[in-house]
Amino acid sequence: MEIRKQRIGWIGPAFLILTVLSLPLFVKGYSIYIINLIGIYTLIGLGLNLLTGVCGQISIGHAAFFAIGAFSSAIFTVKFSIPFWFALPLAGITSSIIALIVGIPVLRLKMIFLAIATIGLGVMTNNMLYNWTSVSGGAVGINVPKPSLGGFVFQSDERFFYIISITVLILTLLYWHITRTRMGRAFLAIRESEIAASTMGIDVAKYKVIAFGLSAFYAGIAGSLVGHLAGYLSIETFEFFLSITFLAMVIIGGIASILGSFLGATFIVLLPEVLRDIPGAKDMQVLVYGLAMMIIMIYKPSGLANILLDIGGKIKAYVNPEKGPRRI
Amino acid sequence: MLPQVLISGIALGAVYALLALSMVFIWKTTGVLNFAQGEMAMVTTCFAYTAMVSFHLPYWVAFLLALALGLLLGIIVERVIRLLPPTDFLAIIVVTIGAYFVIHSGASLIWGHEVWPFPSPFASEQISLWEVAISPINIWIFGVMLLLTAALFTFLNYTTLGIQIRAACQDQIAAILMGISDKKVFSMSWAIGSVVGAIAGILIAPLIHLHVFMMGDVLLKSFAAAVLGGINSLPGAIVGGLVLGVVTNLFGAYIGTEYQDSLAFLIIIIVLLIMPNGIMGRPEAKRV
Repeated sequence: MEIRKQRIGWIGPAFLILTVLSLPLFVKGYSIYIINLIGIYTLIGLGLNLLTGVCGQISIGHAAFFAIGAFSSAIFTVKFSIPFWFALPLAGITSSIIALIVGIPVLRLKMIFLAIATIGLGVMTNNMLYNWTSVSGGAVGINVPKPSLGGFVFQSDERFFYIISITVLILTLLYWHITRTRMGRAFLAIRESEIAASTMGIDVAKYKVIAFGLSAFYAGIAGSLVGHLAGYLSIETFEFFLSITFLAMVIIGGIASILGSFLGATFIVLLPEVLRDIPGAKDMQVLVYGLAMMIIMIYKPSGLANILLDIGGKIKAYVNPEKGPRRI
Repeated sequence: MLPQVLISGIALGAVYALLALSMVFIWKTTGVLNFAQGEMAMVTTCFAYTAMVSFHLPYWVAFLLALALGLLLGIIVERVIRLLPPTDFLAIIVVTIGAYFVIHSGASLIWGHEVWPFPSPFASEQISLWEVAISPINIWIFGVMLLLTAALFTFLNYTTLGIQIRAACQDQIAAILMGISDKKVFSMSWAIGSVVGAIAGILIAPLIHLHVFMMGDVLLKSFAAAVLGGINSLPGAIVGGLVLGVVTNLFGAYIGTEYQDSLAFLIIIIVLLIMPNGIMGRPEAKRV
């Protein structure tokens, strides 16, 4: 029994990965573009989850790091002719360096003050990029080249899917790994109680800044991908509203959960598609975000991920009544 | 030039201060920073507009109706927040942001995205004093701001209900043991704060015109004003608003308007780092 369980433990993920990698064979055109967007949003969700979900620090300015990643990657590839494959990690690193610099003073702030300071970071980044036209192209925007590998250009969304899915896979594993290290446990301790964490010898300030830098790294990578996927960047994409949408995504999906990051991203990307034909779709979409955030916070603070696991647990209990439903 | 810039800055600052006042009042009395405050003010203002234009009610009747709606909205949002554990800071922020989304999109669905000129009972031509031009509405905003601060301050410090509100905020359990109904008191705080917000919306609307996005920028600047002045101080909201208005206007006039928004938040972040309690705020002790 034990051995069989082990094998299934490996077959499941392998099957999942194979299915995901063969997706572009069956899904084409606009649908694969939507799947690519889900992947990019999942990255932001993972990063924000490290900061807000695992470490308990709020950020209402995360669109800033998304924008910094997107524009720095565009600058690296266009102005310095650095290949995309180096620009991608460099974009993440640029984002996280800026996050570390601003994070050292800002993360000393607590709760509501941190929330307002991060709003400030978002507004400032947007304002500066908008006026720094040599970098952002101002209101006009800039064109971003598609990545290529030895003559093979990732022109179509189907080809780009592989870049995104492999990045998501690597960064998901990184997230999973971080939460299981000393650092991840320090984050959790800080979330539960900063004072208790510091009495245990955890350097609270240091770990908070690291969490901020890590989450900015994820957002920077996502930004780089979104620029090269769309082939075009404009600063209007990165407003205050986007920052709160990111927060909504993490809350709706399920806080501090990999599955939650994925579900939240799927929800945020698919909802506009579902509502497309309804009059006032944009407003309906925001209405659903708001209601979902409120209802989830009040009745199910661990979000869609928990709801899904609950349903899974009930099915399992129905099939195999000896085991109780699974709880997280 | 300089007196005009200063006076316009004060006029602008008074706008921020007015909304900041309602957020500071709710923060001070219930410990919740309401992200939806701007949108609540927007929706009451839209409501007043409909009452005036579609139902041909006089300005003052529409004004009172809007205040009543503000009061009701405040009570409703408080009822929702009551469902959350009072110490869960993240959940409370998320729910007020959720309320922001719901009110904003609800208003968009009802009133659409058009921009309307909002009527004002005050004369619209500018008054010139020496070489400074100012419109009467700005003087009214400034006056109402001072009056409301004085009224809220007196209410909190010298009336029984005000003292009950402060007691419940300071120590909820002790207040209950003293026979204060915490539920009533928190409802009351939200109702008063939201009425102040509704007054702010109606007074500001003639200046920036009425549309569903009217409060977006004002909300962010009011946060900044509240934090700058000290988030738990009512006079601090005024000081913060005025300082912010004057400094950003000076910067805009002499250096350039492009980076005005950045400057506002740069000031806030620096102030928060040097004096975390703002200009007039008092430090809050935390028990472990």
